[in-house]
Amino acid sequence: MTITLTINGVEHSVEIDTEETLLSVLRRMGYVGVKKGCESGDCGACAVLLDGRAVNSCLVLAAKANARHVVTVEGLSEHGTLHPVQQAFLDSGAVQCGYCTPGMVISAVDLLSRNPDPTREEIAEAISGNLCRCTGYTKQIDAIAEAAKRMRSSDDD
Amino acid sequence: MTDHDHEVFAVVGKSERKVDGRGLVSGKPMFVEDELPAGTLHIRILGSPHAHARILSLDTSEAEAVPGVHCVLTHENTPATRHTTAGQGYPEPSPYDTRMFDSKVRFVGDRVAAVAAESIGAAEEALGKIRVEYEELPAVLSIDEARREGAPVIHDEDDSTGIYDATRNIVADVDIDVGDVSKGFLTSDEIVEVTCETQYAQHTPIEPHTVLSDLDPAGRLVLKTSTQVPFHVRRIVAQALGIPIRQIRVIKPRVGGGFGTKQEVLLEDLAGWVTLQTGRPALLTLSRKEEFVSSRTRHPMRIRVKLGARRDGVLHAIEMEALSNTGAYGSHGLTVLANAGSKTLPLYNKAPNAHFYGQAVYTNLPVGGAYRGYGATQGYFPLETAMDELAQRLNLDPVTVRQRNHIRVGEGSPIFEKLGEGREGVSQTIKSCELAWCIAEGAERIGWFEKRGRRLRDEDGIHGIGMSIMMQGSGIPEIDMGAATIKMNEDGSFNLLIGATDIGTGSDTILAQIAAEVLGVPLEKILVTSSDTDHTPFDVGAYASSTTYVSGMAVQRAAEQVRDQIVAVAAPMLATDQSDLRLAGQSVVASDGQTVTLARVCERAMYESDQFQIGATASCVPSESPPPFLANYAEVAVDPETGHVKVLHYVAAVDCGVAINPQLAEGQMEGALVNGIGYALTEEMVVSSRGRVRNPSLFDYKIPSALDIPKIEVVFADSYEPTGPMGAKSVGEIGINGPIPTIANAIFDAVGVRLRQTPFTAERILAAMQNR
Amino acid sequence: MVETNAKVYLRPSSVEEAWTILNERGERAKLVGGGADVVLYASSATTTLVDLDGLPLKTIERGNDGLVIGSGVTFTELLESPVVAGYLHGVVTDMLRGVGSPLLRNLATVGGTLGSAHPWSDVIPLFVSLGAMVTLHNGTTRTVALEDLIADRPLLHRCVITHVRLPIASPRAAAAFLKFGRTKVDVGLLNCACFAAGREDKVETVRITVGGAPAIAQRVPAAEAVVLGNCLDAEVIAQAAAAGAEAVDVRNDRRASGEYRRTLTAVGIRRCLERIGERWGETA
Repeated sequence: MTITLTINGVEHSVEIDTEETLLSVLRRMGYVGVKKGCESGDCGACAVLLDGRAVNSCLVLAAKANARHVVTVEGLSEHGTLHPVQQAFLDSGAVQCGYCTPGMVISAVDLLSRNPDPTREEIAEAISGNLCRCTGYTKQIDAIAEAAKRMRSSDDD
Repeated sequence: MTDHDHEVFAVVGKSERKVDGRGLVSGKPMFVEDELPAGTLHIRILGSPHAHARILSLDTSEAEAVPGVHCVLTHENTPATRHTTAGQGYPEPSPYDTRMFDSKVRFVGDRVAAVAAESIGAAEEALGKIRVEYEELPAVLSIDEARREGAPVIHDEDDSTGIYDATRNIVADVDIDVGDVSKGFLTSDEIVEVTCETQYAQHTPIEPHTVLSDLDPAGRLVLKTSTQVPFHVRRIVAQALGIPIRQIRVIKPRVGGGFGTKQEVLLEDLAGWVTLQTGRPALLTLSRKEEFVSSRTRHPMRIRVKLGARRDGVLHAIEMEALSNTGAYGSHGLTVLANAGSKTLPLYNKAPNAHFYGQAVYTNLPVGGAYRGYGATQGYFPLETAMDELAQRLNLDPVTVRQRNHIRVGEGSPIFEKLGEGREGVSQTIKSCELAWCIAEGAERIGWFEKRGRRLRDEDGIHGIGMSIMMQGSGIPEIDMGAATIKMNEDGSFNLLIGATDIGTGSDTILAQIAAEVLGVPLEKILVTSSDTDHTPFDVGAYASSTTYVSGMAVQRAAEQVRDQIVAVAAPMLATDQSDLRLAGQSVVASDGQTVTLARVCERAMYESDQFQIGATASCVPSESPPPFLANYAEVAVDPETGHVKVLHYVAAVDCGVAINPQLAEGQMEGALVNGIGYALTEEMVVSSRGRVRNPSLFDYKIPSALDIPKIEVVFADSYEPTGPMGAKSVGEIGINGPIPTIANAIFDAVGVRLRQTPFTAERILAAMQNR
Repeated sequence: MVETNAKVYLRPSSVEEAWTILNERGERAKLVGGGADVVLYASSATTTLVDLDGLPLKTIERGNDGLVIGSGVTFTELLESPVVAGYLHGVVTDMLRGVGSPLLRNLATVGGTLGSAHPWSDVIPLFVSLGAMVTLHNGTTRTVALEDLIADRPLLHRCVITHVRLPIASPRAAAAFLKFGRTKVDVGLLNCACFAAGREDKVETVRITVGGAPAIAQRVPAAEAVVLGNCLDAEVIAQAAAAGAEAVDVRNDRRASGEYRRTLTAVGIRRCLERIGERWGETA
């Protein structure tokens, strides 16, 4: 079947299998920043924004995403400038192997779009569905707090 | 704090951003599965439903007829060469007991067959059509069953080698002693004996094992693989496929976590064989379930420790008896067993009598392999809880007992030379040890003297504090080798070619920092290429905490040679002696203040006069393995009604020598600690009575999430290792050893129970409290 | 991994249309709420997927007879709703916070979770204790108690759930929910949901439900009998907990033993009833 998907602001008409997941469609379209870690909705490496909400793309039937907006990690930077969350991850040492990073950044962007001044507990909850085996999470929470701070102060400018 | 006679660094010691970080946060295609050539076949593996069985017959005709299938592989049509999958230096200290496909299956999930097809769907359909006739055999499902008289023999084939005694399922046997422990115990004032058991646990790298094999235009096999050991992959694949090493190129792109499970040549031979047979690129990646069941695990162990001490707490005799379950194949079986003793006992070198002995046995269960900590993690559980109990019995503070016993600068241990990587080790004397500072600093930060023994109660439960100390190693002395090549470009930048394997640890970055330091340039002037067997010099790979210490020294040496060449070219340009020149600020600087830029020097050498390529290759084989040291402190709260334990605060005071990149070193510690906490509290592969893993998914095998971490404090001692590059030792593994004994000791402080089995589930803790 | 042979994806524009498809295709059709359970658990017998996303089932309203939640409402929408936060001291909000992670909660729907009826469900035991009433369509529109619906699997698997109503109880009413998990993102080894309502300080209505034992939500009448007609004092609570623990149906599974679940039942009932007692005190 054919669906319409807006990915990172660009509308696409895509031929899919009926039961195909959004993860599968995105990766074969070249959005390989969306990672495959478990295919059971447990690790969060595949997280994307669907109409602004972070979801496990491995659990979303692509057909369900018809006529909806998807944002992947590839869509977060603008003209080569990293999104503040991405930059903060880099600056805070929050990236080790980087495999969980795109999904985690997506969850953070969702959080900060709704809660511009989150507590560390709220940040931890926002990324609780993104499993990481390398970092122990501390620097990722630091990074998201830092990104929030930078985004707030640039809003004040 | 000690006074170190070293210069102030410009790049080393700075928390530089990772050189690969930008691409990773942007989701650029950097992992194996991110870029697949047109026509890539997909490989799926058929796993055994039985724990132990002979394959009597295989009918693959229906499978082969499925549209899109290119080949179906079984033991009947693949190479029969026995090898090890363990990514270790040659000759590997692991048995050659593995074939690509065997006529016998030895655990549920063992390889029976594989299909390569145009799509995953076709491959899976074909898998379902393979007809297999098995003769089920009685299975061995525990260490005790394996050792029983008359137990079924798991490796009864006649072409496997390197097994200690296959007829008794013994992969490895180790027995070393120092002095006389029996006499030692007889003359001790206090004896403590504990036996602990650790569970099956899995690394759960978020990226499963993945390999893409292809042919280059010259017809050579190119393996792009998520590995920790590219050079061992090349050699072992050559062996397994019966082709020359020169016919294979191995490339490691970015790796989504390894932690030891990718120190293994698990999939590459199979994928390579498919490409050789079909001429097509082929992708093989494990599902998460296969990652749990059919890759590698932590070795479950049962370890007994007996301590004999004087009244003042100084150890007089230590005995450790370790039994390790290595699963169906012997990969890393001997060396992980040996490390349970070699990385633990030297810590307490005051005891003149010591005995370490043990065996690693086969079972019809998932296969143990390398896992961060590598035996030491299991060994510190009984050792550091026995020390805690010793302190209790002697009415001494556990901190005091550690202070009276731990190894110090200038000291050695007979264990260093008696127990190495499965054979004799290498004698060494400690040249850097800030453990005393670590112990004191950690105690202060956790509030050891204020909080211990108080058993304060709040809504989290009853509070308790525990501590432990440990050491690890930095590389494998006289065995591991790492090399580096540096060549200069005419803009004053340098290519750094290293075999060393960055698996997310940041080694590309820290090795570049070392080069940048020597060459007097900022980090961005070092362009790193790593882990390509065609383009980079040899390195054993990312294991044994070797990269900073061993590969780093190779980089330092190569950079020094390049520096010397630069100086030799610059001297006539500045009309001065070479001895007068140093590198700083991207220039060559003379004592009278004259300078010439590095770019100018290279231009001259490349185009103008006595042209040559400024560059050098250097290697390092370490002659010792200076241990990092760690003191752990944890505050926990135990819910007295449910037994649930919450770790509230964890302090790790670590001596890793100079931290080349403090932020990355801290990240290594934090990640290892949280992994260790999961291993201590919630992670457990549950195996059925028929040998099947019952929870092979992240849904039911629980690793810590961001909501499960305590407040973590990592502090670094001001330390300098004279034999290490820029004063560094290592930091990659040691952190994971801390949580089990530290939390066990904290639970004892809180509720007075000693736990002997991991994980410390709420149910186990409550049962222990009820049986108290 | 999706295991279905689904070839047809339908987007009905009315509840009746959805029902018609379901009725025609029976076992071969699966309703798609968030869709996560379809991806994870649908079988190869499934040939038709029926997406309810286009249906007007996404409202949360507080009426005189209770909180009415459309089956298309996601867990996150419930968590962000001030109406839900204001219901019974925010007990639904408390419970949802411990369910999965934001990634799951952004996708999972109320209808989906009720329809899947996983034994480890946290939503179902709490809703059962709250006396939830489910409006569904299976040719006609009917309202059944959730408790009865999950006991009637043929009905549960062959209907279109449209709304759930959480009743408003008499002025003095409170509920509490507790879950015992290994990590914070885990299904429970056991969960416990209690509700009590009354006029003075005597309990006139009580529901105590234990879930994931490992079976799905079960009422614990032995514990309820101790509480009914009495004040929620320490002695009553202790007796109810003990009675509940003895009577509850527990089994071993790979996560926990039955006996440990029995212990957790006692702790869960006691702590929930204590919390309810505190909340009653607040509304005195």
